[in-house]
Amino acid sequence: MRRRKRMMAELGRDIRDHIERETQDNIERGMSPEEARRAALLKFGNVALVKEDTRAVWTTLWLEQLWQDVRYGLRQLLRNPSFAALAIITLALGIAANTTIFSAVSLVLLKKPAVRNPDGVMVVFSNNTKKGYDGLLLSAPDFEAFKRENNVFEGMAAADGANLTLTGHGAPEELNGARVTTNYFQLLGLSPAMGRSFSADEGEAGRNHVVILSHGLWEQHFAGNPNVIASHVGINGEPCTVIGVMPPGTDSPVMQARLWTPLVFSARDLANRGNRSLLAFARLKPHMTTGQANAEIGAIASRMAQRHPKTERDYSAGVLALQEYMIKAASVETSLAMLMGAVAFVLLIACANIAGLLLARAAWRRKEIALRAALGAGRLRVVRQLLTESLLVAVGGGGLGVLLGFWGIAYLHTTLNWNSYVAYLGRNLHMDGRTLFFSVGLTLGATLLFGLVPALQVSKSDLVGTLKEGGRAGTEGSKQGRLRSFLVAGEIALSVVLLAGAGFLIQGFVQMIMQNPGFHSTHVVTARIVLSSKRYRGDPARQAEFFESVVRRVRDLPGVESASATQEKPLEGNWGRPVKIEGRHEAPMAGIYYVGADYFRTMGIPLIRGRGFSRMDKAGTASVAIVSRAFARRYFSSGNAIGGRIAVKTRHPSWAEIVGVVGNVKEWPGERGYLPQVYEPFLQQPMASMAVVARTHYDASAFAPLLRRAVWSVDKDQPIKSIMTMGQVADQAGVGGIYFMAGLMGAFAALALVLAGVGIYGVIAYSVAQRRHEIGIRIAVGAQRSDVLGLVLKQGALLAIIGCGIGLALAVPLPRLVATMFGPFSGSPLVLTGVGLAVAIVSLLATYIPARRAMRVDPAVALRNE
Amino acid sequence: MSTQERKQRLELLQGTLDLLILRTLLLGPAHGHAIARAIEINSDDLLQIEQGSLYPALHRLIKRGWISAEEGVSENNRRAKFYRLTAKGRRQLTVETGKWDKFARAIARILRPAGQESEP
Repeated sequence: MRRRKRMMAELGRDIRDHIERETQDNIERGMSPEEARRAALLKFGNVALVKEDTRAVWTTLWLEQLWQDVRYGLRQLLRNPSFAALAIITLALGIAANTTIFSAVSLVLLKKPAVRNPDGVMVVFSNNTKKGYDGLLLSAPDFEAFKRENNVFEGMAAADGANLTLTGHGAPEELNGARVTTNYFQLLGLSPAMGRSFSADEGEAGRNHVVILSHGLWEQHFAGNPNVIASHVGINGEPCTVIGVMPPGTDSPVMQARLWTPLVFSARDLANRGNRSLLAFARLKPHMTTGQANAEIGAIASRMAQRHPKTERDYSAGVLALQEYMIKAASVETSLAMLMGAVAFVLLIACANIAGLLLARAAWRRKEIALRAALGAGRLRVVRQLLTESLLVAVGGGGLGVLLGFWGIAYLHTTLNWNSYVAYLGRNLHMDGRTLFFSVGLTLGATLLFGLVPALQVSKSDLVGTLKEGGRAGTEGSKQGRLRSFLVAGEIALSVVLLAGAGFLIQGFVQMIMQNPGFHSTHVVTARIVLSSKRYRGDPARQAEFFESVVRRVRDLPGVESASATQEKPLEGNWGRPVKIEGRHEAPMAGIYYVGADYFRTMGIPLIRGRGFSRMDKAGTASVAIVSRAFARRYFSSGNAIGGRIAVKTRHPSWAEIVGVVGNVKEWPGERGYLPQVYEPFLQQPMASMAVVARTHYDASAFAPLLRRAVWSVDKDQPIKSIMTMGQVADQAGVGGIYFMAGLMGAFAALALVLAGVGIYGVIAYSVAQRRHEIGIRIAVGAQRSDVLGLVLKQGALLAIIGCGIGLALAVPLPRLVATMFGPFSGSPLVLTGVGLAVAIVSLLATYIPARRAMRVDPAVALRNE
Repeated sequence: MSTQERKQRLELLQGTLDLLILRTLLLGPAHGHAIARAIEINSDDLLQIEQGSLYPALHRLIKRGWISAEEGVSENNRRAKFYRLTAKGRRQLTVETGKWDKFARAIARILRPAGQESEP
């Protein structure tokens, strides 16, 4: 180091000596002294460059230059804090938006399932080729056949999602659980954190009274008790021994199970081809591909279709890697792609803004840069200097953006709810390494984008011309002016597209919530009760009695107007079942509801004709039914269905007389028209799973303890699930997802509009400042102030019109994209008009402020400044 | 110097400047300007070096330990920095010269295949 310093100190003297000697030689050759010196200098070359090159021999020069550039850049930024702040905040917003949305992409689309060697784990599923459903679950005989006949898998395991009621530790609780084949954990490569997993013999009937807990359940329900192993609990009323606790983060993929018990196939299960409820996992043999597995499973399925044409004719089968299956299960790729597109637009707009700012600033600095070039700075060096400044903006903006991203992710964590599966995934949303890496990479990419163009543009500018311009503070070259205008028009176009996208989503959302669902969703609280305990199994009378007493007690609670029960709630997607109508040949599809007395009054569904159900419509009395107005209109002349007879196709169809007609109810949010509906009294068809509904002024959380007490007064071991208002039911059914999307897109669009406004303002304000001289002359020679105002406004309007035009053209196909999210959708022209207006207003505002400044130019001052 | 003359002069190949400096210093220590002059004169003014480019090259050679620098007094009694070939540099010169010869022969063989050779 010291040697280097000494060498460098002496270098200057050496060079001086050298040139002197050369000059001397030249004089001896007969040149005049000036001529001799000029020739010597010419021959020596660029002294500064030589010094720099020599220094480079001793140091890793770029590091030194970088440090210089950084210090210089910081000084420049600090000299102009408003520029720095604007650029950094703009970039931070863009990066934060991208970071936040990417964290969801990372979680839902990129995160590998938490199993050993996830790429080797497949999900085997069947498809109904006739109805066009795919990704269906398997029946037990299907599963056994695939397991027996394939040559591609090391093994197969099955899981059957089940509601398991846990008793024996505090309040009874119904939990998402799964019955799994005993090789399930071993196949996925998961081993328990405590205790052991299932042994093979625990898959036999009678030995299956064991349970493994998830880490979360162990912590919440057992207070993390380390002695939980070998303790006894009740599962669906049967005593079980806890044998293991899984480590955190190993919940069953897809199924959200929180506890597991062994899956036992009875002889009846193995013969029942109709019950398709198994999620089948398989592990590929080494060197086998998904394609080979697909072909093999497909072949087995077609053999089965030949062997069992009656049940299997319409079914094919296939495999998907577990990760892909999970992505499919989440089914939010379109929404995520839309959001990623939106935030990418925001970032592009931010980049355009910063590039514009840099260009404007660089124009002011052209003289300084020309001077640096004249003093021997290479073009690359100048570009690097300018890029360093951009990098400083990037470090500030990117850093701030990532910090804001943490906040954004914390927000998403609680609001990510396209559907219950994604909401479940959302609990694991955090800033992961992939997201951080993405944000840093994106920041660098953005820096190149907004930094390189202006840097090249400026460094290219004509050296002599710039220096010659003398006093006039850099009139912007027309090329740079055009580039800036182009950037701003692009920004406007992008924000128009975003605004239109958000507008269409909001339109769809409004259409959906404005639809009359057919019932009053306010003031109705519901809760699901599933009778899984042994006590009620296969005993319809007991089930009926249980729900009767629960409804009676709920009705008697303070603050409850009326109460009832229904097997299915509206909006939960009742796919319908065929219904035979007396006197008609075909059996049309209808949504079937088994409900209690007072159901229509509780839900606020209007009774149009006839009567509702009463407590007298029970087992042993004449079968009765009530149909919806759509059903009556479609299948009975003049809509009078009273007295007609229908039979829901079940295992034991029985004719029921229609005694009433009620209003239509939406089967799912956004349903077009109404599926015809049939109601039957649940007391005539008792079942084990019902939703209690109550009309009350309490909200769900206040009502929950009352409701629990009422249920437990009937059966103290009975768990209660999903206590929520009908409004929350609607949210879960998809309204929430659309609301979430519309909200986010709206926020991003608003951000884009603001940024575009700043961009327009920047360009116009800068151009006004540039043209002060010209405006001064115009006013001096008699132009009216209003002429000046018009002149500037025209410039802004032109940009706005061009940008708007391009943006609107790009926005035309957007309604089709929105349609992929919630069915048939036609964009309203009102949305595009509104977007155009919003952009026009913002542009006008952003132009008007600098235009007024132009109008006030004092010609005397403007001209004297020259 | 006319343009014509300039055109006839040869640009140095990358890396050959180091070799020329080492060769020049084989005759004895010299200061920067003398090295430049020597190269020009010994090549009958055919090789043109931008004299400034000599200095980064000299420093590179010092860094590698092939030459050393010392203060001295020049012919007209002025203090100047003299560069001297080191033992390591001498060895390097042999290596580099050998390499250069091979290189030159190879190029010549390609440019003038045996059949067309006009000189032996």
